Amino acid sequence: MRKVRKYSPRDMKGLIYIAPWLIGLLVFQMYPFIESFIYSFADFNMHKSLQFVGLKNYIRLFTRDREFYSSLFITLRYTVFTVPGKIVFALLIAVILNRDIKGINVIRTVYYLPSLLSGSVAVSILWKLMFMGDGVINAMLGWLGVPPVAWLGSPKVALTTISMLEIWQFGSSMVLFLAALKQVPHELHEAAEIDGARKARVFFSVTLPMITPIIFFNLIMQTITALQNFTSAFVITGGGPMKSTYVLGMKLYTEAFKNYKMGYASAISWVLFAMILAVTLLLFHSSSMWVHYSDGEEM
Amino acid sequence: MKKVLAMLLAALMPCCTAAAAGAEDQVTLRFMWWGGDARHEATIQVIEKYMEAHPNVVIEPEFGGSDGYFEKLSTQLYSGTAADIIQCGTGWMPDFMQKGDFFVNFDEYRDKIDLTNFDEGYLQNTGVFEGKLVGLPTGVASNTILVNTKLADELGLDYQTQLTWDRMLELGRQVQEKDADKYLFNTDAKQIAYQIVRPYIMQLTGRPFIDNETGARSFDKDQLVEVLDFVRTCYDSKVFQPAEESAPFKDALNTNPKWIAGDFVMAHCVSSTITPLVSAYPDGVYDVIQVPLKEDRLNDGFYPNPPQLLVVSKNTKNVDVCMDFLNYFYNDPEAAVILRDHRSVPAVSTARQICVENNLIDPIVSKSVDISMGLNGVNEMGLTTNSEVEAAILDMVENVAYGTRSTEEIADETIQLLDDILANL
Repeated sequence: MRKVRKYSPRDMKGLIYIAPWLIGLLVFQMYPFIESFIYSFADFNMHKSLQFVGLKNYIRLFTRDREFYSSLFITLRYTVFTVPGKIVFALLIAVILNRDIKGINVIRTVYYLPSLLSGSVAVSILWKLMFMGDGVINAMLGWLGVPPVAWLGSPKVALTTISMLEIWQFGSSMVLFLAALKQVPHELHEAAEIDGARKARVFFSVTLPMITPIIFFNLIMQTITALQNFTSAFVITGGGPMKSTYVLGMKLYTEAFKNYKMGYASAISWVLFAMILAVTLLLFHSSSMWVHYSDGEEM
Repeated sequence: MKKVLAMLLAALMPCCTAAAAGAEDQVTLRFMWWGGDARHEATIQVIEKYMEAHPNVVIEPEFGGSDGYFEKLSTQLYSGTAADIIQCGTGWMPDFMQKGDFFVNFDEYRDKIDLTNFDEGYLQNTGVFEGKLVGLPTGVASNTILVNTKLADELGLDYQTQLTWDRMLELGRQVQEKDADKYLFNTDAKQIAYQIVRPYIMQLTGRPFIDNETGARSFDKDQLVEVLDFVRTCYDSKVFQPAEESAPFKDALNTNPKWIAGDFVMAHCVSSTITPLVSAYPDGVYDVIQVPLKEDRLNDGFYPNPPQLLVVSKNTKNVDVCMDFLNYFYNDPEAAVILRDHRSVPAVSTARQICVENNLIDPIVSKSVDISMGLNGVNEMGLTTNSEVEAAILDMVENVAYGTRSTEEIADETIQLLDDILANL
């Protein structure tokens, strides 16, 4: 007969300690998670009670909603542009800051500051002001004799502008890279240098492979963040001009809170979730080919 | 024993009667609205004044921002827990009326509330849904054209003659001929949709863009192409600033640096955005003019429109007190001074007069409303103001503004999209 496990008073005490978090998880994350899955198969718009429509929302999304495909494409373009850009930029700055120079901690803090404001509406508004037709960016270009650019007004440029905001907020990735760089054993560098390797070779053949686990971690986290982007597109461009920055997060918001199609919006959110899951699994799968762990185990 | 019991009951009777009478007299109402701090303070002050004069009435204010208001109100209406007096978005009414019998018909209480100071035509056009007068407009807002007459005079423009669509183009070209850095209109896609596309179609067809009666669009492809060609000509002739330059200032025309520098002669706006535009360039001299009217129009295409309506919930147990409070709210001179233009220019003529006399409303704003009161366009609230339909119109205007495709192609796409949206509503 299967033995029923009894919780000891010590276990119960532990459960009580984590209860606030557990309740928060169940109420604010698990419940909406499950509920949105149910809504995605229903017609639900606040005015009328839930009516199950089977796969109608998904069928409409994939077969009749052209806007969905353009939003999907824009989201992917945004991700492809921002994720590598942010990782390369963060690594570059981390390498520069990985030196023992006077006041380095202050400099590191300054570079980290934009990340503290990550996702902030205030930063998005600041960005908008900077990139307006008569903003500081065009003024600086003017000093160099470059004609002004319609950073926010041109459908060809607007997505790049909001992507730059994301790349600029590289601080948290940089801190992780900085920690990883500190962990690379010094003797490996010395051995490579004794063997005659130049600095660039040391970096690409020794340092970079040693920090691939952190590159992998950053890649996963930044990809998820980019695919879920909403704030910058919403505040800076409102999805425009010509819906050139209308990412999936914007479409989801519009369907849910402007068109009040909660069921349809839930279907979009589940498609987005599936997409994030697929990309994450793909990255995990690829990691065995390029992520190196110092203990010799590879993913 | 029976005698004692009878005496006891007789002795208790007056107490019960008195208690019942007291309960009847003491009335508690809930009044729900959205707005900013100034509106909240003024409304609360009016409530307090009313309660001072009516000690047996307690009105509980329920107020906040506009975010989430619609969702809250929808939930309350469907669950029967809505406030007694409710501020309601005009565009929400057709949907609410279609879904249920939520509101009191004011026509049945004309002896309790004085509605004679409303313009009857305005009241019928904006407050009547499904044949019932269920909403009272809180104010009058209207599409209008703000003119910097100083610049217009400098450029030698005749802005006094009634605008037509063709004349608008002609004036725009004149501005460009005089000074290529200046434009006739400060506008954006939304204003073009509100002030050109929808009114132009209504002038052509006599019906709203999407007709609530038929549930279908009121125009054919040729009519839509005519309107879109006009908008494209405005961009090509630089009557409007190029879309790439003006796009960052959408919904905030007063922040456009060219407006702040005084490089626009006119601006599309509504009565409530006149003040921010004037403040952004105080060196200008301003006036408002009549919106463009097509010579062979079926109606004016424009009409005065309330920013909100006040409605009374059908679930209220105190309709008479609600009517009495609303009578004070709309018609009392003291209330008019307190409420001033916090819900746009007052819809009631006496309140508007009081505000003008006490300099509580900008005369230009008041003039814009006066002009609009003479316009006979049909109320578009309903399918035309559906969020998906509005988004489709905005996309269409942006496509024309950026010149992505021919107007024929854009019209085809938009018609297909609108028909699809309407089929799924």
